[in-house]
Amino acid sequence: MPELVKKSIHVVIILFVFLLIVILANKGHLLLSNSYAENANKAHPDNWMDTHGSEFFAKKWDCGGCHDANLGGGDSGYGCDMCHMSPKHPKKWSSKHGNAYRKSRKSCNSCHGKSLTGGPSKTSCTKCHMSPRHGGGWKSSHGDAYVQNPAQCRMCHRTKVKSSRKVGCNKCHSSPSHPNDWMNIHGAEYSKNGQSCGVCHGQDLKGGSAKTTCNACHLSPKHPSDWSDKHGAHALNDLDSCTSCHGNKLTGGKVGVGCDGCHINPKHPNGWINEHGSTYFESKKQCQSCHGSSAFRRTAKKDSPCLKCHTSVENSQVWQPETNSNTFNVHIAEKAQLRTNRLGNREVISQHDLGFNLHEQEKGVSVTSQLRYSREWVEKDHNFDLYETNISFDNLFNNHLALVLGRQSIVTPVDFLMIDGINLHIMPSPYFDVSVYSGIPRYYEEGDLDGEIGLVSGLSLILNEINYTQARLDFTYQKKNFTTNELNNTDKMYVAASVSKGISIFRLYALSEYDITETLPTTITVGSEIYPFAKKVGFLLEGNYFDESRNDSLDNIFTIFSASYLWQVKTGIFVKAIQHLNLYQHFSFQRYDTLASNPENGFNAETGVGYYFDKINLDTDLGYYFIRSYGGTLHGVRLSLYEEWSPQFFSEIYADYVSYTKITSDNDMALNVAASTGISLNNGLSVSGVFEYVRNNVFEYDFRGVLRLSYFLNHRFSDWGGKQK
Amino acid sequence: MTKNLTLLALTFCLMFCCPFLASAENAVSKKDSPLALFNHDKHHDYFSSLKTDCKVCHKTDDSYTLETLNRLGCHECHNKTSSPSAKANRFKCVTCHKDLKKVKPANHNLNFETTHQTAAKQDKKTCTKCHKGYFCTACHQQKDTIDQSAHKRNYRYYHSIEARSNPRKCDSCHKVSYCKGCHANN
Repeated sequence: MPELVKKSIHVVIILFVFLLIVILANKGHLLLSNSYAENANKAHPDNWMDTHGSEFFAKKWDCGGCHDANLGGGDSGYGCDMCHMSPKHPKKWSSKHGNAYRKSRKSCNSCHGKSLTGGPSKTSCTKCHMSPRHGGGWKSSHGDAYVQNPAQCRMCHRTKVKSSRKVGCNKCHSSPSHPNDWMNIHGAEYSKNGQSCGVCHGQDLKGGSAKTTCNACHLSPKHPSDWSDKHGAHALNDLDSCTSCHGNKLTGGKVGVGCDGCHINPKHPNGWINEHGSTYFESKKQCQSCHGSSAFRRTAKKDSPCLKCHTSVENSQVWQPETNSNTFNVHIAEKAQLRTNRLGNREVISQHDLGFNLHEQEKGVSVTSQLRYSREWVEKDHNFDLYETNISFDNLFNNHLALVLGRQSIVTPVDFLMIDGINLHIMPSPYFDVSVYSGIPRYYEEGDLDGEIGLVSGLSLILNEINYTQARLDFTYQKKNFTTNELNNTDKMYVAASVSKGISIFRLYALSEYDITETLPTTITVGSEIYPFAKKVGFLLEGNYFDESRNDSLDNIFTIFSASYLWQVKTGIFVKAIQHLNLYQHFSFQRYDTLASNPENGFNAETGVGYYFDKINLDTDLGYYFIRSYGGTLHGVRLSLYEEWSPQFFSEIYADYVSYTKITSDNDMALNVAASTGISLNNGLSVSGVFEYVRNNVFEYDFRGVLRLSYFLNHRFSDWGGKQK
Repeated sequence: MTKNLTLLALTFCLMFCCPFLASAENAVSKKDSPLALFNHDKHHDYFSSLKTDCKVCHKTDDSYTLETLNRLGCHECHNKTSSPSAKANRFKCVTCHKDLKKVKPANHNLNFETTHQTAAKQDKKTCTKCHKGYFCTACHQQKDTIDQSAHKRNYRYYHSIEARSNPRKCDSCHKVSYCKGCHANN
């Protein structure tokens, strides 16, 4: 119980005891003096109605002679309660006077004054507690008063009290005596009637008289005036502080104001990974408002959200998935390596690639170009070793025509090959394509200037894949000599047919090339792939026939070894029944005539097992290989371990051991171990260190630390030109 | 020479600092399979609006497990030029296959290094679905200078055995002039 209430009760009790003593003393006096009979006849003065109150209190209850000790009337027949309440309050008045006041306010006025400040009785409410007659300005000050002593207010404003003028806090605002579950509902209450909180907590919600601020637990809903500029930064800092009002998922919550009213919700919904890409292309600025504009550049910082998943830049040269957006890529790849050769000299080898890829979606135009420049350990004359450019127009005539133009040239220290080509692809229906092509290959060997191979033209009729079936027919005509328009014996004509058909668990395929001018088949391939258990197991069986006269425009190595033809059988098995475990076996057998009617056999076999340790990102592969020919026999074992510590940091170990016997009798073993570790820094720069150990009989052993710097810049300007649909 | 040594020292430093620079926190889960990324509710609502047949994915009445689902059903929208949703078709393969190396066709495990010529001759489009740009030249016109990808360091000492076993294999990258570079026959 508050101290004041206790005190006031004490005061009331003391007052009461004092009153009793006074009453008893008066009684005694009356009894002793026996004078009330004299007084009875005394007539009150004329203005007695006005003054009897103060007289009564001044004479300290000396009215009992006529009006009875309890002032109920007595002999005079006039009791106080004829007009007003008797000042002789009944017993336990201190606990009853409040209710009595509420029932009849005026009845207190006659003794205690109109404003209950004391009146003739000189006993005011404020002697013990607050006056129920709230003065002027109470509307503004009652809050403070409540906060100072809520018990005071409760004396009168208890909700249980029945009164015609029951005044509760709720009449204007929510009650300061918040209910038990207030912690859960105060937010909702605030959004319903925020003003009423201000009564106690200040209109700025900075505490007010209640001195309890929102900030004590969470962010104040009274956001500052420049909040629209600042809320983003705040949200990024502490997104959870928004959830108490705006909902756990920031979709509105109690206040009904969600982020998506103006922009994308930073609490991305489930499945965001599926749609964030398209959202980005629809409205980049939306993403940038939280993730920053620099995050989407290739020069982005390490923590760029995009680079976490996208673009293993090193691979984009090989893996370039189709996109339906306009793109422009530039790539630069730099590799350099340093070693000490076995004579103790330091050597540098390097490879530089420069290329670009441009793709315009709407018109379907693509341009690709690449230039490669290599420097070998020992510098040679032809450094620009590869150049190629392709220009393609994919959807001419409403996707019915595609045109590709290209040039490729390859330079080696001893020869030079260049091909210019054009290919027109006609697509009259989704099932049938016609391709017309023409090309000029040129080949120059060192010291040989007559490199013209002529003009190669062709026509292909293609049945596109329907129900796992496809077929095609190719005609090729090669004209070498342009001095005469007639077909002469240097010209070549080929026809080729191929078919592939999937039936149940089988895929059967066949390809045949026929030399019309020589009237002999040059290539025949028949094969089958079998997948009996939903591609967990696979088998391959393929047979090949190849004639030496194929491609005789260029001297090929097969011609050196073989007099006529080659038969070949290939098999393959893989088992992937257990997750992450891959077992495989490849085998091929070749038989060809080295001289007329002198066939020789060749065997190549390889068996391996690979396992991917899922939890530690370790990829392992162990294999055995075998080669046998009339040149000798070779057994080899190789092991490779690739550990991806993180998307940036990797280590690799490779070991290869071979043991061979050769017909020249210089039998040997050879070992090659390479261990590398590297890091892919952003912007496509990767640095790795390689330790390489090479041992063989030719030079006893070689142990090198090799350093490799690889720089791969792939700058992509997407959304170039037209707008995304 | 001093330059080389400086380069050597610098790279060594970098190499040994690597483990500390790299953070493992950002590791992208390799387990992200297309089906783990799939949100059924989202698709279901959209399909309802298009009145798409459930049989696109659930071929039979009981094909509701990961094993029996028609996974190729996804391709109807995500990998077709005639896709009903341009949005779905926008990123094609990478929409679902976050690690493209995992979408290797089954025949790539079957001695494909030696048999792919037939597949490429038959239908080059199948190759270019995934392989772009310089993928062919990356092997066929490769100079084995830095990356010893085709042959190992000691290959020159035993290449005679493999060349005699299948001389056609050499032809896919080298011409006779390459042999002549060492085996001068004049």
